[in-house]
Amino acid sequence: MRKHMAVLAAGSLVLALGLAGCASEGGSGEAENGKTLKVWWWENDDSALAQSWNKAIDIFEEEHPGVEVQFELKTYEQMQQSGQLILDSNDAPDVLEYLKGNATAGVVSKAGLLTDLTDVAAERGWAVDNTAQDVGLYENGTMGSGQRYGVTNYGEYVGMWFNQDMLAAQGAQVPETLDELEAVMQKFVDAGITPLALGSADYPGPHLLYALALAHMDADSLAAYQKFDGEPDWAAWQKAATTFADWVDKGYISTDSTGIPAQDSGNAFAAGKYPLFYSGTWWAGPFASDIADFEWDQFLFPGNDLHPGSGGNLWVVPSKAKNKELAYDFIEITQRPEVQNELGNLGGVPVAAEDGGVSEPVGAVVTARFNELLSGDGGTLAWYPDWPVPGLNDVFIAQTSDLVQGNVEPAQVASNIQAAYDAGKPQG
Amino acid sequence: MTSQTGTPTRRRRVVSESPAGYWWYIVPGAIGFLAVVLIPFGMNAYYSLTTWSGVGDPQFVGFDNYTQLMADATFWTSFRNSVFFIFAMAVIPTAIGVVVAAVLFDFIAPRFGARTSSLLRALFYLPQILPIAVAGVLWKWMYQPEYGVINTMLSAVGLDGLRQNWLGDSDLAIYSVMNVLIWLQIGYTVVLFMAGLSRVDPALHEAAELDGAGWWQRFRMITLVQLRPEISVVLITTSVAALKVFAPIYVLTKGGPGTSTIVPAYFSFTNFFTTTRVGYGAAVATVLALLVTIIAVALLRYQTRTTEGFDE
Repeated sequence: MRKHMAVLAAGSLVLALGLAGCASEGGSGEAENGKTLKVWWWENDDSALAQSWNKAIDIFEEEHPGVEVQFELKTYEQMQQSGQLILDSNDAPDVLEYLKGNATAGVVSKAGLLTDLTDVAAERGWAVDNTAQDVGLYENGTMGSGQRYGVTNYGEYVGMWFNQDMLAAQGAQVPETLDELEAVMQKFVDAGITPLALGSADYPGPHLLYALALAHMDADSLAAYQKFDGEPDWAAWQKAATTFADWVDKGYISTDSTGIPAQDSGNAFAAGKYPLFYSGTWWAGPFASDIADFEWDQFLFPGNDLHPGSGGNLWVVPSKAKNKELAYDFIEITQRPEVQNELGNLGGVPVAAEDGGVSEPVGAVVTARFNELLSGDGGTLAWYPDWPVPGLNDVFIAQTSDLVQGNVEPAQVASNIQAAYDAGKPQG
Repeated sequence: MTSQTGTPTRRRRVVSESPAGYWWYIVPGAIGFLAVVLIPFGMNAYYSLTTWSGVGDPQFVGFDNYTQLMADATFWTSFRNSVFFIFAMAVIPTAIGVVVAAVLFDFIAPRFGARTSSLLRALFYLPQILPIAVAGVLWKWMYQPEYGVINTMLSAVGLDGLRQNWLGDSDLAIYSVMNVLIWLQIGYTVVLFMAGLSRVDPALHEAAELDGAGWWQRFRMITLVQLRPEISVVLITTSVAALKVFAPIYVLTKGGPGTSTIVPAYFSFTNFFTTTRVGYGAAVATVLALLVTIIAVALLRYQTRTTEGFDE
């Protein structure tokens, strides 16, 4: 027995020493100033973003002979969950893709872990004076204004993807008002088809509820909700929840949707099972490659001026980065037309593509519409419903799935959202 | 010769007289225990008395987090769900495991050979080997309401009325998750109980059989009684596992729909990493750790007592 204890103890010691070894190992690989650029991102190799960023690395290497680019692929979860610890350590890279938002970039910018890029952007003449780049601005940890801590390369917005063939079969036109949309959906219900592909177990449910709430909001009430600039219009949320519940009752939304994640609902649309799918531009690439049997397109939520969407995730430079000038060079390259056009042609939504630089149809549609949203001509980007307060996403998913199941009254939904919002919003 | 036989005796006596000489054997283990268990637990307890977002300086707030916790409906829901999961991971798998092990041991092995029974035992154990992420994804596919295999099969045999939104219905989701947990746990209990059965003296069964006892009587009077130590061990380990359960919930439902399948570990996790209320998450973790410790100690004591009784 004692022998066993000793073996066990020795094992523990080995483990402890091993852990200690791991902890101290990181310091040994430190880069020399100006000789290496450590870059991290989490996008998969076959994504539009990764392909265009790899092109940026090629250009960087060409222009910086003698500088070695050390790239590491991370995962989204890794950066979401331990990004703060990494940025606080001496192992931080020189430049990395980081999550926009109050709970992520906001928290670390407030803690002084990110380099303030305001002056760098001005000195280098970066074109960051558009609303897509608001996601890089933080003041006291709140996104949208203040100092610049990040620069985004891409944008995204949520719209209604539709199956042109199915609409034509019902003799339906692209709706321009909410009433027209409801009339189109009713036609499908009458024909025995559930019109809306919805994954309420995931973000599509909250996005739809947000679109319905945005129908009752204006710039002021949006600023109140997103930037704590006054009291949000909770009545708009109650009206949204009422419409949402009404759509479930009328059969526009399947009650099964609570067991369906976002990916499944997108797949079901791509398989031609549903005529409508309200979701983001990140589906453009997959749809372009997966849908062969029918014609498809996208319209903005009918009747709304405000649409969920924003600039994408950020390039940030940690305060502890060792080669900041090289990092700035790299960020600059990712904004160049050749990289941005490539991104658009691969189905991404570039923020700085040249006019006519995006030639592929899939990229051309979303890029043009995104630019309209940026300029304010075709509506305005309204960010996402869960941004104001950390953890709000879970609340939204819970509320929309309860709405679909009829477990909760619309008024209760609005007050539940308000309670979570109030509990999490910055004090004072 | 004399000296050789004499030496060990003397050594043994030295051991019993001075156990202090062996204390240093504890040092390596103690270091590991300190580094991996005690210090992190202490830090966690400290953080639970602060508000902290994970970066910057924690602010000391005393027992605020605990007061808030006591009034938090989600926290209580998570513990109510834990009770369900104790049934799913400890009670039901133990009950099924005993019966399956006895059937494999008493019927399958004698009639179809040890190989068949080993093969079946291995098959029952398979879910334990499968990474939970993989098993979770498989079950999610099967439970998928539109084209999942369960609903598809129900429709195929004309039972459309039984189609369910398995993981999406807040009344049903917890039972769907329990079903997965039972499936996961049965292998563990079967393997342990079969090991236990091979320890039981076959003469007991033979004697009972000669006296005219049927299988059910022998199962109740011999198998169950003889397996008491194994049953206690299984109940302790699986109950503790049920209280700490995280991975299957994370993969299957993320605590949803709503909070209908949330568990303390997942609730703590969301506070740490999603809402970045590290202090609050730490308070949940501390309560959970204390509770698990109390229950484990109580069960261990109970087990020691019953096992001693068994030995006598």
